[in-house]
Amino acid sequence: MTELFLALTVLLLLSGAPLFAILLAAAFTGFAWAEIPLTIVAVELTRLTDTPLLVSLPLFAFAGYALAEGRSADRLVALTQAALGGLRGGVAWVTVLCCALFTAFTGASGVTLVALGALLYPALRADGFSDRSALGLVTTSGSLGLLLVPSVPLILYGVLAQQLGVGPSFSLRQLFLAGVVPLLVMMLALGAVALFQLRRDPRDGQEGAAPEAPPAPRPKLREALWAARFEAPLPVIVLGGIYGGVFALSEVAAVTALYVVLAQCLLYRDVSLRALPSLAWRSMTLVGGVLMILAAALALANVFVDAQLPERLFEAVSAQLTSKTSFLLALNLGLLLLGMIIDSYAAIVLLVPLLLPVAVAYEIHPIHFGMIFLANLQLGTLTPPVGMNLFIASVRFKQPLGVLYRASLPYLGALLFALLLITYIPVLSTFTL
Amino acid sequence: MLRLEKAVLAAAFGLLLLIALLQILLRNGFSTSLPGAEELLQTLVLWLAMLGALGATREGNHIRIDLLAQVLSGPWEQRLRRLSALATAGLCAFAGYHGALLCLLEQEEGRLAFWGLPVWVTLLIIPGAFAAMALRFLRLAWRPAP
Repeated sequence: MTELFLALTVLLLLSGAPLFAILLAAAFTGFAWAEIPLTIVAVELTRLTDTPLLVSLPLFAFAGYALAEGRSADRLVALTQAALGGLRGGVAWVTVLCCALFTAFTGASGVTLVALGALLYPALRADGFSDRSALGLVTTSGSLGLLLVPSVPLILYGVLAQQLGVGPSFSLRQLFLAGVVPLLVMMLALGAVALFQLRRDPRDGQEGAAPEAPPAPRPKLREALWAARFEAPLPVIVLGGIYGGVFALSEVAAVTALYVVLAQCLLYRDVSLRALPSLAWRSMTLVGGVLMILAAALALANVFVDAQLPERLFEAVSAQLTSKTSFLLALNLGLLLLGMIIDSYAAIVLLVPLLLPVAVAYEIHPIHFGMIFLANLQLGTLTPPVGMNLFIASVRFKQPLGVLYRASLPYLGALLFALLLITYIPVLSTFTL
Repeated sequence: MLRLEKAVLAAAFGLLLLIALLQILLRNGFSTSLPGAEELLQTLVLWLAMLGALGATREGNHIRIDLLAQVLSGPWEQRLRRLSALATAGLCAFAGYHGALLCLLEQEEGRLAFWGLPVWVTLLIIPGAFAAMALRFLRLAWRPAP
């Protein structure tokens, strides 16, 4: 029986089956091997119903889809441009800030590139950035925001880490707050490279592809604020609600979803009420897929624990990597390589149950580990040869991949530097403890 | 069929949003709460997960790691996709079977979930959605999506 399941798992894995199927088959294999009745796998799926935190995922995902459907991106860019555009190179800060906020809400960073790229790229060009610099900055910024609530990968990590229950305990509020400083480090690193390139490149360096559309004149702050009046309260609701500590995460999510619907459908009239079922369908097919993967991964995590896999892994690893520093370095490198080939969700649900106990054994705090993990994955979506975001940017800006590789390289260097800071200066993540 | 599926999923999500909002209102405005609401919300998460995964099968947007399919091309890629769909159909059928067994076990125990609803009824979505997914993957094995 075990061999049969093992063969099925390998077959699913090699043939490129959906991730949830691979994880479920692996869980069946493990339980068959441990001679536990296989109905346990169905019981594991019902664990979705005893994690109150998960109620927030569909709500946040729906809110993100509704935001992306309307013209929030335009108004967000106009507002930050009005506020920061006056500085020399200020549009660089506009870019990193808008991308981080937008990605946190919409989750998938590809969406950010599609929605914001068309606005930010011409704005950067008009502000004096060279073609290459603007392309590189927009492409790499598209992945910022993974560390900021309500980003789905961050919530997913929180749920998994809490369910595993290894190492010192922490609250989700602490985890969510912890993401802010590493995110700032990455934003500063990207902005610094952009400003350096602006200073180095000749001011009239407008060679290369022409901007897609003539850039609009810089909006006035008062007008931009007025235009964004219904969206401006949103970050306050979400961040204030979560960090303020009065409301539960699922309550914040419900209010966010309601507020976004009200703003987009009734106040701005960007989205028609009739479009809502279709938005629910699109967001729920995404969330459903992710929740299935999570449930299957939780089942598999139990198999790992029963088989004492993390302990064995630690024994094997600790023989090679004797210090915390060498473990962290190996972690950075390994995740960087994996991030190039596998999806972020896959990496989280497969590797966190295995690696978190090992990291804890090296006395790395689960919050710090989460920040390293997510920052690393974010970099993986940008690294050649198979970084997702590079492909999306290539399609979006109609540029060959080679051009994007070269344009992104200095920014990748900056993000790598930020990753090293986040990895080796734990206090950047653990200041909330 | 698609319209029914979309309507059910949207209704389930609408109910989730509505109950969650009602809870906030009752808890903060009237210091009370709807009995069974938390259990209902958490059951809806399971239903959304299963129905959403079923929908993702229809739309072909499950998260995959398809390294081999990216390397192959032409008829071999097609064969690999059929094989993958067939294997996934088999797995879904097996998972659905164990979901049904769990429902039977719960029926014997006779536990109640909320509002007098037996637990096994709230779990029916597990065998139901897996069975539908098995059929859908079987069809993909027969005739792969373009």
